[in-house]
Amino acid sequence: MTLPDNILTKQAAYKLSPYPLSSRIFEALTKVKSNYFLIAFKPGIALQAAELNEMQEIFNLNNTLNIHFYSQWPIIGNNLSVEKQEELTQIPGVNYSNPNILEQNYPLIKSQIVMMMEGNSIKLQFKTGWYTVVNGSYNYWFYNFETKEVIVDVPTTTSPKQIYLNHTTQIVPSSFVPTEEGYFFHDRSNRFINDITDGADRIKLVITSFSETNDSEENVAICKIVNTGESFVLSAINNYAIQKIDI
Amino acid sequence: MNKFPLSRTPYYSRNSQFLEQRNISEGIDPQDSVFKNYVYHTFTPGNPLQAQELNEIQERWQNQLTLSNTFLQYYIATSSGNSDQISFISSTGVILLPNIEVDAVSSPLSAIITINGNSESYASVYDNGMRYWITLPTLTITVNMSSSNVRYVKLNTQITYVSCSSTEDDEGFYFNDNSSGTYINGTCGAGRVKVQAVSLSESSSANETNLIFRVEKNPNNGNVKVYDIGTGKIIGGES
Repeated sequence: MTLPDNILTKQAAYKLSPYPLSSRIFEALTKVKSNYFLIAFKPGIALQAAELNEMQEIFNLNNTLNIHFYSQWPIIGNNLSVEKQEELTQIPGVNYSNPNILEQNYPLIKSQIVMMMEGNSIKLQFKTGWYTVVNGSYNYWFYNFETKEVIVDVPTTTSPKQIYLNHTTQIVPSSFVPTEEGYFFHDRSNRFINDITDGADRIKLVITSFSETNDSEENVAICKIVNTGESFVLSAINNYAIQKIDI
Repeated sequence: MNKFPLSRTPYYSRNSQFLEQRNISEGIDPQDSVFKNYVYHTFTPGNPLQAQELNEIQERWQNQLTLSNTFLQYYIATSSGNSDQISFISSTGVILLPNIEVDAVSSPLSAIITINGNSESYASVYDNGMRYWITLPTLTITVNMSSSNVRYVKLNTQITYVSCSSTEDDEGFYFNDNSSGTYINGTCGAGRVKVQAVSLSESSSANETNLIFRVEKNPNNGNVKVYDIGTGKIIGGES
């Protein structure tokens, strides 16, 4: 049982998932296909060993992905020679004119976003894998479980297109109904889910769309397409280029 | 300020104690043996939760975050600025904090590389995609440079689950309750997941995980340079 091939998609990485440690992070990703990023403890509900194990794995997962990010996106100088700029174009390239935008989303790996022409429009594919999402004043990593697409009109040379990563957060309450997601949070210290032992709730991130418009002011963009007159350049919001299609 | 402020009474976090402890094998100088690096608590149903375990987890998170931030600040500062440089960190290699001392002595056919490890010699090691900052002991390897001018060195790690134990000589005895200031037999708490750096070995492939050094020999004078795989920077050797 693994996620589509990417970083941190195999069970062997999740050292606290085997019984009786029973952290649910890997199972949540592969079976429930949910991104739980907080465990919401409630008064009156017995603390589970598994919940403490999950907390540790959530932390280490996020800390690890932050480091992996710099193995996929280059750090560059700001006095680049023409030769270096050409080298970057092959990476594919980087335009370092505005690197200081803090509130932006990223794919972990550049190739998770693919641009292609679709008639007279441009189609973007957001492939499976890890993405950061700016949520309020926090940044989280989430796994996109299926490729999502958006088709946009080609941008003019004066107005680039921005694509937003629209998301919401949901409280998933622990539940006594076996068909509900929250049933998954019940105690399972004897290996099987126990019908009568409630657990903590979870907060999860849900991606609603990749779109030209943002669902709310809190959602921020993940990429943009610029028409240079010679090519369409797909880049991150800080101008780190991802892909180029010659016109 | 104490790096582990929750180690005092009555909080009794054991991180500072564990950090100094080593797995000592017979015949090995304690200074050369391997640090215990606990990267997870293994909370197990049926065992009571200790306040000190929650304190330890918080300290470990702060420590791991601080190490990541320290490295990334160093990496960004030394890779950008008014320079003509493009830089990636390694995706599957070992990442070293800049304070790690590496000595390299070259001879015509080999190079002796030594990591002078101590309790502040942190490295991020790779396991199936997950990374952990652990401390490195003193490790030495003699790299054979007779057949190639470029060789790779791998850091070998070992991951073990350590259970709590009632036997005083066992490592897991120190996971018993310590809320009174002394370990009480039969009051077992969580176990630990331990990651240790145990040795260096040669590798002819650049594709293995946990590579730590690239060793290059200058064919003109026989001197070697040691490159840190994590950042690609020169970390030791001679010109």
